[in-house]
Amino acid sequence: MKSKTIKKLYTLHSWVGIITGILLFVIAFTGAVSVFGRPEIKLWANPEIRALAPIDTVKIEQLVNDYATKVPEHYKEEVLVFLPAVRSSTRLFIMFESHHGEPQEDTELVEGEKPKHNPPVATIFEFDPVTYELVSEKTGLVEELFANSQYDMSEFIVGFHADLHMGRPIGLLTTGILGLTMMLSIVTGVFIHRKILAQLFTFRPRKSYSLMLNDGHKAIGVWGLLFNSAIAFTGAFLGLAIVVLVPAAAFVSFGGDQDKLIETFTAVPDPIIQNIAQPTSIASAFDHAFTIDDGVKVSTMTIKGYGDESAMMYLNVTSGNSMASQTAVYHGDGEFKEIYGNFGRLEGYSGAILDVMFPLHFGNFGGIFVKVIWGVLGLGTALLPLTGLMLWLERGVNAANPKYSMKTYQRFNRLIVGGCGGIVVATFLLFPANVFLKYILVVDNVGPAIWWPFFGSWLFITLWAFIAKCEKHFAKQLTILTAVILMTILPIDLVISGREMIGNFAYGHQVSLGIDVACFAMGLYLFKVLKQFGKLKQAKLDPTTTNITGTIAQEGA
Amino acid sequence: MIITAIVLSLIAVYVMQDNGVLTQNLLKKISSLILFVMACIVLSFEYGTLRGVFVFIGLVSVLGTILTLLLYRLQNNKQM
Repeated sequence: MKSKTIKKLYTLHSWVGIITGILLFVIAFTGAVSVFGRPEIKLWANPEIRALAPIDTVKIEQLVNDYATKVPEHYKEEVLVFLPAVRSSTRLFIMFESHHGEPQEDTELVEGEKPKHNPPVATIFEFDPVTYELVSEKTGLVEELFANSQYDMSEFIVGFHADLHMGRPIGLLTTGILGLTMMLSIVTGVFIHRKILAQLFTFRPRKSYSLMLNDGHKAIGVWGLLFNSAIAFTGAFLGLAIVVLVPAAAFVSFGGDQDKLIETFTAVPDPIIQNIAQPTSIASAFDHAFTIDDGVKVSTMTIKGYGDESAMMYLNVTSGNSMASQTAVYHGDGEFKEIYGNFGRLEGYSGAILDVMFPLHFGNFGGIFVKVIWGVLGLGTALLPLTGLMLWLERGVNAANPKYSMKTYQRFNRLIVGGCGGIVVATFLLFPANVFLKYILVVDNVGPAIWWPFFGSWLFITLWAFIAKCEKHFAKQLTILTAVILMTILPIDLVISGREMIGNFAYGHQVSLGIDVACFAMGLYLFKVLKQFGKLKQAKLDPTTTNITGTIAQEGA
Repeated sequence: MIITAIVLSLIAVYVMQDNGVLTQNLLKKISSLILFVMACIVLSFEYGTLRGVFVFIGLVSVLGTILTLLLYRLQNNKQM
C-alpha cells in the first residue's frame, strides 16, 4: 500500500479514536463488567437468592392451577412463569395475560376497517422464592406493569452498557454506531500497522513512556484482533438491530409492520383451542427440561391454551450444549416435542448466526471460564482507545511543532482522566451503593435510586478533573480511590452475608465470594502498580524527555 | 480438559517467540501451530465445535496479550 494512503488511514484512525475514544472506553469498560451481570452480580446484589433450594416444580404447577381460578377466563390466553434467581427476576412470577386486552362491546366496523384490539392486560402474582408465599399481586396494562418493574445494580450496569440509559432509539443508535466506528478503527489499524506479525511480541515499557503506550496499544490490539472484531460486529448489530435493521426489514417485507415481522420469526404460535379440558402438566415439562443437558438453566415457561387439550408449553433453555439460548417445546400433557434456537425458524444459516450474536457479545455460552476470558479481553478493549488517546497526546505534546496549544492538550488530558477514571470509580461504587440503598436506606426499588451515586460520582469526577491542580496527581488519587472501593467490597459482603455463608456455602455464596476476592485482588494490584510506577518514574526520570505535565509546567499552565 | 487447553496454548504462544520477537525458526513455527490445533481440538471436545473455536480464540488472545506484556520480566530485562 502506498505511504500516502497509509498516512490518510493513520489520520482517519487517529480522528475516529479522538472523537469516539472516551465513549468507547466507557462502553467497553462497562461491557467487561456486564459480562458478569447475570447471574454473578445479580447474586452478589441479592444475598437472599444465593442459597435457594432446587425449584419445586410440583409447587409451581399447583400455584398456577390455584391462581388460574382467581383471574378472568380471557387472562389465561397466555400464562408465563418466570423462575426465581434466573436472569433478572429474584422472585417467582406467574403472569396471566390477555393479548387482546379486555373484551370490548361489539361496534360496527366501517368497510375496510380492521377490528381494533384493546391493549394487552395481565395479572402478575409475585411469590417468595423460598416459601412460595404470595408477595404481591398486580393487574393492569402489560406496558405499565413492566414499566415499573424492580431492578438492581446488575440490570443497571447491563442496561448502561446497552444504551447508556438513553433508551431507544438514541441510546441504541449511539452504541450501535460506536460498534461501527470500532470496526473502522480495527480495519484502519490493521492497515497502518505494517509489521503486524514481526512486532507481535514487542513491548518495551522501560525504554520510554511513549514506546510503552505504542507497544501496549499494538500488543493489545493485535492479540485481541479477532475478539475485538467479533465484539464490534455483534455490538453494532445488537445496537442497530432494533432501531435500524428491524424497521428496514419490516419496510421491505411487511409493509412497515415491525410487530408482524418480529411475530413471524420469534413469537410462539397460538394453538387451535379444542375446548376439551385437560390439566396442563407444568411440573413434568420443567422436570424434563432440567435434564436436557448438563448445567442447563431454565428461565421462563410460556403456556398457550392453558387447561385445554391443545395446550403447548415453551421453555426458554440456556447453557446446555448449545451456544445460543433455545426454546424447548412440550405438549400440554408434558410430552417433549422439539427444541430449537430462538431464530430457528429462519431458513439457512441466518437463524443460527442471529442466535449466536448475543452470547458471543456477552460471553455467556461456556460458564465462568469463558466469562473470565471475555471480561479480561473486554478490559483490553477498553484499554485500546485509552492507550490510543494517551499516545496521541504524548506525540502531540512532544512534537517539534505541536498542532494545538499546550492548554488544549491539557484540557483534553483532563477530560480523559475525568471521563475514563470517573466511569471506573462510578462502576465499582455501584457495589457499596447497592448495599447502602438496600440495607441502610431500605429502598424498595434500588435500580432508580442507584442512578444518583453512579451518574453523580461520574459527573463530579469529570468536573473535578478540570479544576484539579495537576491531572497526573488526580489520576493517581482516582487510582487509590478505585483500589479502596474495590477492597471494601469483600468486607461489605462479609458483613451482610457472612453468617449465611458459613451456615450454607451454596453456589450463590461461592460466586459472590469469588467476586469479593477478585475485587480485593484487583485493589491490591492497583496499589502495587501505583507503587511500582512511582519507583519507575523516579529511577528513569530523564530531564531531557518532555511529558505532558512537564511541558505544561514549563508553559506555566 | 480446560487446563490442558490452557497449558497447550501457553506453550504454543511461548514457542512462537524468540527473545521477544516472532520466531524465524520453521520447526518452532510448526510446533506452535500443532499445539494450537491440539488446544482447539481439546476445547472443541469440551464445548462443541462452534463454542470451542470461540473459546480458543478468546483464550489465545488473553494468553498472547498477557505473555507479551509480561515477557520483558521473564527475560530479566536483557533485551529491553
